[in-house]
Amino acid sequence: MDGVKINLKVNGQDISREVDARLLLSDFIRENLLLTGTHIGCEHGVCGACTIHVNGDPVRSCLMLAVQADGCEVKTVESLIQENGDLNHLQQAFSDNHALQCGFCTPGFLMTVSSFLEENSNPCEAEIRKCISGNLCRCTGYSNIIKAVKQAAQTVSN
Amino acid sequence: MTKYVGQSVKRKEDYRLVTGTGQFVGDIRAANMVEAVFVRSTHAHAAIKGIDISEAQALEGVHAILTGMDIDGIIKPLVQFESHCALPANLEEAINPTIHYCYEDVLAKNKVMYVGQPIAVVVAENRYVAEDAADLIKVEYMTFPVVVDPFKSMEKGAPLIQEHLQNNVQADFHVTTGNAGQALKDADHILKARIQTPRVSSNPLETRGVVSIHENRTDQLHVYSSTQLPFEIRTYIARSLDLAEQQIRVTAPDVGGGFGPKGGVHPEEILVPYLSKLLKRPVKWIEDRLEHLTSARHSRDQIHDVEVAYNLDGTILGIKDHFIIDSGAVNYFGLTCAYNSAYHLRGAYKIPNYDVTCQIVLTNKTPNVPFRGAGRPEVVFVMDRIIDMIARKLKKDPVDVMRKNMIQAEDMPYDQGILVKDGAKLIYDSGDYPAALEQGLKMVDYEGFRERQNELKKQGS
Ligand code: FES
Ligand code: FES
Repeated sequence: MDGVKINLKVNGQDISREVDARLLLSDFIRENLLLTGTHIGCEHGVCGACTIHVNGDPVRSCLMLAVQADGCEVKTVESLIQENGDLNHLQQAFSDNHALQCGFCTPGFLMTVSSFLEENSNPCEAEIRKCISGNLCRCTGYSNIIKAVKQAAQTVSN
Repeated sequence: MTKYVGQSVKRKEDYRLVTGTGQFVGDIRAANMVEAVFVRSTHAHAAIKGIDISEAQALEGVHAILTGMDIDGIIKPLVQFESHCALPANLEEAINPTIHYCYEDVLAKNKVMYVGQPIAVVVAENRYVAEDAADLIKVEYMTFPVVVDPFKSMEKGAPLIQEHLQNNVQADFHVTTGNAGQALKDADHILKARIQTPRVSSNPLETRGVVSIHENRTDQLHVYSSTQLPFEIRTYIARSLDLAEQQIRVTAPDVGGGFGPKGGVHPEEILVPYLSKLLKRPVKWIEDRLEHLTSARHSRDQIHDVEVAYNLDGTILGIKDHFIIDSGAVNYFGLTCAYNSAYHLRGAYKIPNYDVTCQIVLTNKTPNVPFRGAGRPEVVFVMDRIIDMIARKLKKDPVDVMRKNMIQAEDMPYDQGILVKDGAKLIYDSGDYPAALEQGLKMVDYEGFRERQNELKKQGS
């Protein structure tokens, strides 16, 4: 299969690779860039575990081809941590509020919520519920995730 | 102790899980690793007439294709778990069980018994190529009549699911205490009902997956599986591949949810290690969601036909239950769910006359394993329905029927008159169920709810 050359920025780093035209963006991130924090739960856009940012928007990486990300700026869950290794306010809030059990869904939630909080720094509960309605968690239940989002929003506004 | 009890203790795994540095089975890699994809049955019951792998084999990047015939005599079939099928002698005497041997070839040989059963496995450079190849494999089937209704499956002359058996009733037992027959004669009323819990496919967010690395120098297998049962897997790999357990290390890395389906031993957990040894390369297989829905084990699927003897004041004198578990094509777990159901049905209630027969029936569905609660949630539902139905018949509040029948604090220790699965007597040592019920009712403001309900009924809304 002929390779296609793509250039993109991932977590601030310039990347240039040749990939199969049919390669999923999620597989590119996990298998080629070895950024395995992006998880795959369904591969058909249902669960949200594979959510990343493409040009600032939350996107399901299992529904995009790597070649479609050519020229884009991509961010994955690995970009959230602070430079000194501390958790950022949202990661900390998830941990503080027991918003994860197995943690498989967590990267997707973190990416969905972090772009949401950038647009809406003081959301009400209904808005938070709507924001996470496209992400599935099978273990934790959503109440603690909502609590975590509230705490994160408060930390930012303080 | 005061350091921990009542304190909020931070989980050690959170840091890696929120930073995307956890290690789930799909994240494990090794040099030279290749990927496996399974070809699965599209029929619920059929003979395999032929499998044509020639086109798939010719595809560039394909390293191996195995069918049932290739491993015949090399990999032993998956059989029922002895640890779950061996019962203590006193329990055997009390419940007179039959458990017939049943099994599944890790790749179907002559026939398939359920949709999703593995028929062939392809190993290739990566999953994309392996899936291309899997698509090129042609399986020729001759379909058999399909049995999906457990009652039809028990009929004389029904097509056999496991062909070495005389019929499709794989196991049965009878447990009894008091005299339920007499209670049914003595009671003011008899309730007859069929109460069912549906078949369930549990879906953890992470699907199943296996990575196996074979170390040639020491002939050791290191198997990673997203599993709830690493030690069972080690035992079954050893048994199926004729290895010593000491040659195998099974790691359950970060596991993205389990809930039951990751609690059996599945064919892939035997085949992937075998392939890594055969090919002398690490092999990875990650289940996709569709495979999980069809091939990962199911659960529940119980049908209870109950006869309940009760009096006008709501007292339950006795229960006679005949229940069926539709276990799909194989029952790996003996009486695990079945007997759990039988000895938990009465729950917190004092019902001295109790008689249960159970039949575990095979059908052309995905094999069952225990899911969360393992047979108990099913019968909690049955008992709750019995309470509700009696209340409705007597025009009483269900809570009053509960109160009437509960084991009282002063009855403790309370002997239920039957045995637990491990052969011990089923004796409740302590508890104040009525007090717990009252506390619960208060917490949800049950009375207030009933008042509001009556108000609304009056308003006709
Ligand atoms: S893996 Fe992309 S939405 Fe589920
Ligand atoms: S924590 Fe397990 S799926 Fe969300």
